[in-house]
Amino acid sequence: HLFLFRYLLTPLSTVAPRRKGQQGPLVPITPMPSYSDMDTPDLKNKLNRFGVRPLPKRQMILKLKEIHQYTHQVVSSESEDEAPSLGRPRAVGPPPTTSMEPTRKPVSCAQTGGFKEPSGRANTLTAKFKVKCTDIDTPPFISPPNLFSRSNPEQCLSDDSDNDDITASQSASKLQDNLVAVRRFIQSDPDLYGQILHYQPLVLSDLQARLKAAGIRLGAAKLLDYLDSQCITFTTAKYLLKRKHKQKKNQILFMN
Amino acid sequence: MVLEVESLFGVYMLYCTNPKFKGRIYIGFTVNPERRIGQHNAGRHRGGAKRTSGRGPWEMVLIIHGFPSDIAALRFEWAWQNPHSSRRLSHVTRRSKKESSLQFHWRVVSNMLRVMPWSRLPLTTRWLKQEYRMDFEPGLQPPLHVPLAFGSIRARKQKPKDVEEEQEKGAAICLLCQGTVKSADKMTCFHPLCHMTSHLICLAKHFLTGEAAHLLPVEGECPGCHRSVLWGSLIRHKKGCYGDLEENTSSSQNHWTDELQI
Repeated sequence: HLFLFRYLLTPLSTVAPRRKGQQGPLVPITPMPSYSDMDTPDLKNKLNRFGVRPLPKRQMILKLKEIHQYTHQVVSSESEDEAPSLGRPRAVGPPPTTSMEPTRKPVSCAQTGGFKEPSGRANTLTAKFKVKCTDIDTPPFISPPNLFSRSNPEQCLSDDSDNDDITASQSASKLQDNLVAVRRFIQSDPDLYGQILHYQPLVLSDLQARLKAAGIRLGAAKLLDYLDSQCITFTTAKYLLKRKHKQKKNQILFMN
Repeated sequence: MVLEVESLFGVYMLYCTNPKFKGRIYIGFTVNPERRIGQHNAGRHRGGAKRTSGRGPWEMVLIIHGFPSDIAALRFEWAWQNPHSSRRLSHVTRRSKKESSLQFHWRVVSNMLRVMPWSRLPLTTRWLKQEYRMDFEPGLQPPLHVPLAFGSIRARKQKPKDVEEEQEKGAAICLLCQGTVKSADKMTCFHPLCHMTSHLICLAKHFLTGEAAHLLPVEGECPGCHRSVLWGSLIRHKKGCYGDLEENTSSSQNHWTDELQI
């Protein structure tokens, strides 16, 4: 996803924090393009540069605004130690060209999509890449939404919101809450969790019913995505029944 | 030197050695590779697939094994056969003109091993025929715990579990929480001199330190002998499988990243 990398190297800038008693022009942030006035093909192209597929026009506008806000954040020296929200790396631009001291400090990279994903393991591979990223001049690497969310099953940067009234980031955090709820539900049920730990396939309809009964609202597509990210195999009751009959039949034939 | 494995679920790749059929490839599922290749080469009336019948001779050149269930393996098989229909493989481009079918299928499977739901399964990539062997492209290395193996493999019948072993000397104690362990939850280490016992869930939680959002562990350090072991191997051992339990964890692999300089 080098195209994203290159794109971010260009118009990124930061507003230098105002020093006490100091007046003077702030380095301006690149103004947000008027996404609301753009044509659908333009929006599609812009999104494509971030590796995001075409969406309904309204959602494309929201998404582009979100991306712009995310990539044009104000960084001050106090914000260095803040844990990034949802585990995202902070966007940091090149030092401002004014005479002010650069206050930008090295930012450690979260897991990146460009490198081979070590599936979230804290082993030597991750450690090596982490050290590499704290070089002061290394530009930030923000992985495109899909790859990033794979390393952490509960990470969801964006969501196709059906609801007019909530923004993309609101629905993303709602989804994340639901995913955490699913995990807690599973962990609270030793039989169910035991099944998963034995790699035994779960009957999807059963799980859906149980989640519904527990008040966890998650659509089938999102649930399947989540099960995949947790490496949980699912099946249908019909298939299991068929398999059971076949095994019985084979046993009988074998005995004869 | 043949590796014998109980509870084998494998997805294999066949290569057609008949020059008339120009290196055609077939992907399939089996629980018994030796029997299956015989069926393919004998034709559809002897159990071989219609697509391969009369289009041989076929060699089974590669097998991905270690799937914990038939369903997991069948899903992998379908995705490998239909990469362009699989949601998980939308990033895999179609076969280019310069790519042979063999190279293309190898590229697809290299990609598959790197994505969920397969990237956390205790799989092994095994070339059955050295002459066809290919290495992973630098950008398509599999997860660290997935070894590249060479040599034949054979399905072995599982020995029925010894009932006496089940009711071992009194109740076992979990090394991690000190609680008593019932046999249904009992996890033990397969290394001969290690006497570690623990609850299934206690051990899973122990292996998942540092990966709080995940449910299924991939590997971890045995709290008894401190060797690095695969979760998949521990479960196989629990089921009574004794083949293919060797350490093939990330720490015991030589990996191209070992050459990287910081």
